[in-house]
Amino acid sequence: MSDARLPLYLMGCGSAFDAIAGAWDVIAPGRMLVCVRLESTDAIAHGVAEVLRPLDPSGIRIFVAVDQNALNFARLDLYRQARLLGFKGDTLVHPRAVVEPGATLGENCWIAAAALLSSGVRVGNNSFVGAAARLDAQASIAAHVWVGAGASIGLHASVGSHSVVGADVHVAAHVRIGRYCAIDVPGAYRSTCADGTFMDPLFPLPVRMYGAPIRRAAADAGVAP
Amino acid sequence: MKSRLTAEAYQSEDWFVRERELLFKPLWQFVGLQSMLAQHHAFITRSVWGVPVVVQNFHGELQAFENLCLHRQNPLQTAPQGVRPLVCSYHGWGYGGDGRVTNIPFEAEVYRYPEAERACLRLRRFALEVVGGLVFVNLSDMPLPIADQFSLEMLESLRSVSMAFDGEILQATFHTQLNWKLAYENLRDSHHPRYVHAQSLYQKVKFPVVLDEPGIAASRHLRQQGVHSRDEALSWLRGFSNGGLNAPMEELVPYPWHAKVERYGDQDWYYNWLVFPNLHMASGNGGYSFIIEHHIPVSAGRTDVVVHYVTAKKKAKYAVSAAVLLAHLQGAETVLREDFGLMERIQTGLHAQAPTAVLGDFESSNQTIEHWYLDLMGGRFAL
Repeated sequence: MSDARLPLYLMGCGSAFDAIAGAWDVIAPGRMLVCVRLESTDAIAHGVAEVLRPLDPSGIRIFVAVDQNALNFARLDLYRQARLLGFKGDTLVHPRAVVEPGATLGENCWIAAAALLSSGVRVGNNSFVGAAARLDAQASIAAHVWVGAGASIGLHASVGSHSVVGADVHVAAHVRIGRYCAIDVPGAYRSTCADGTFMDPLFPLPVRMYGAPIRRAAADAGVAP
Repeated sequence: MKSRLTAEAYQSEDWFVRERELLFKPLWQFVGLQSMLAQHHAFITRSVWGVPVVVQNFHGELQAFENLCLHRQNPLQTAPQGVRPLVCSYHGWGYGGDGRVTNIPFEAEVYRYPEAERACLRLRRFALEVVGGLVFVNLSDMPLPIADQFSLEMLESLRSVSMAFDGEILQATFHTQLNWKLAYENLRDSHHPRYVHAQSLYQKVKFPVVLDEPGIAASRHLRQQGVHSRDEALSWLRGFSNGGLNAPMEELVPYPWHAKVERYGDQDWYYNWLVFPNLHMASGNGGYSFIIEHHIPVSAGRTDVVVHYVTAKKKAKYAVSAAVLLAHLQGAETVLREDFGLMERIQTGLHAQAPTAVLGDFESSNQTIEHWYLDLMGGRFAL
């Protein structure tokens, strides 16, 4: 998963990028870091090929650090572009995070400081877990997910791909958060959120998606913050 | 020109009730998008000026009924949208596409209605029209033809653009503290974006402030002469709704998802449709996506704004479509908040002795609507 001898190219922008760049000396003491800071997340993969093409894929590792923009698709766009060019991603765990034995992490994952991942937790590729977040035993996080600072995912709970679980959102045990959800209003969520559910601090009422190809027909379950 | 609309028109509940009877009940009201009603038993519910309405698909045919069970007036459908037979959850009464009761569980054993009374059990049905992908209902017992309310050109424009809508829809609702008229007045004020949206929408589109000299003259004439007949009133009414190309974009930023949809038209322009009295549609990116903004009057000082976001029809499914809609929602939120904030401040400042508006020539369309509206409210004509 990680080859600590190779230089790491940190690419992206935003809070996760800043956190990793700022704490690099404690995350990987002595390891060479090259920061490729991008201007914005708009058309983020555009131009990255020019940066990476002269480099030898076997001689470096990459890490794509972009926040939850566009349901994590911005990060995926950049990551996918780098992978297509043959580069391999690392997964980074802050030394002050706790990942218990039996937890499994995918590629290009970031586990921030003071996060706690219990035994049996699964984190899919390209998913980020924020500072002081807690993932209880057997919780499952799919690929391309963002779990914000201080959030918690309960025992056996699951979060579908491309979803955003905002800061201080608490998903109760056994609850399923669907795919393509943005649950970004702090509070406790005790019932299933259907695919495509948006709870955004900008909007006082839940935003609903209809007719989405991703939506499961009978998944129109209520949402209780 | 001094407006004749006093604060009472924006604040009084009595005035609001008269508006409902004289203006809204006779007119066709937008209730939703046809794509939300695509399958058998799909339904949407709306409160249309206090009347609970359900629009439901019965084997491909859309029907609109009062959303109250005939037995104990329990709402038949309780969710804003869904797929479910038209059955009351209170005692299980079921209804068919003609509004008749198709099933009363234990009817013979516990209800024992006389045959004549049973035969009369039928939901109140409302007229319904589908224009392209837009669904309208009319609460009147004798609805006017929809072509009396909208010009044929407008109907064709609505049909054409709404047929370009994709079936994946993001819907958000805002509870606002403002009178519904402030919304249509604001939408017809092309001078405000320079100030209210200086840092948002106006950066992308420089809306032209057009002085429509024939329209200004017609408005003055209307103020002096008033409306003389229902036919003349309907002729004016048809002129209140219009739409299409509005203003060129400063710069149309290309996004990869643009290639995934069938663009409406080929102009890098801002499209705008103003549908009197309370519907607004626009495309802020030259026909790649659309916002459909429905202002639902709740009371004199409250309006619910239901906003739908759709892209143009997808050429094929693509993974980021949900993210595209969410980004639209978050992007448009700034502009909506700027408008809501402004209108809510105006609403808050109104009081019985408040000065009335002093409208300029660029506001001739608002002036025309005002003269027409006051003649309607004054009983000079009826719709």
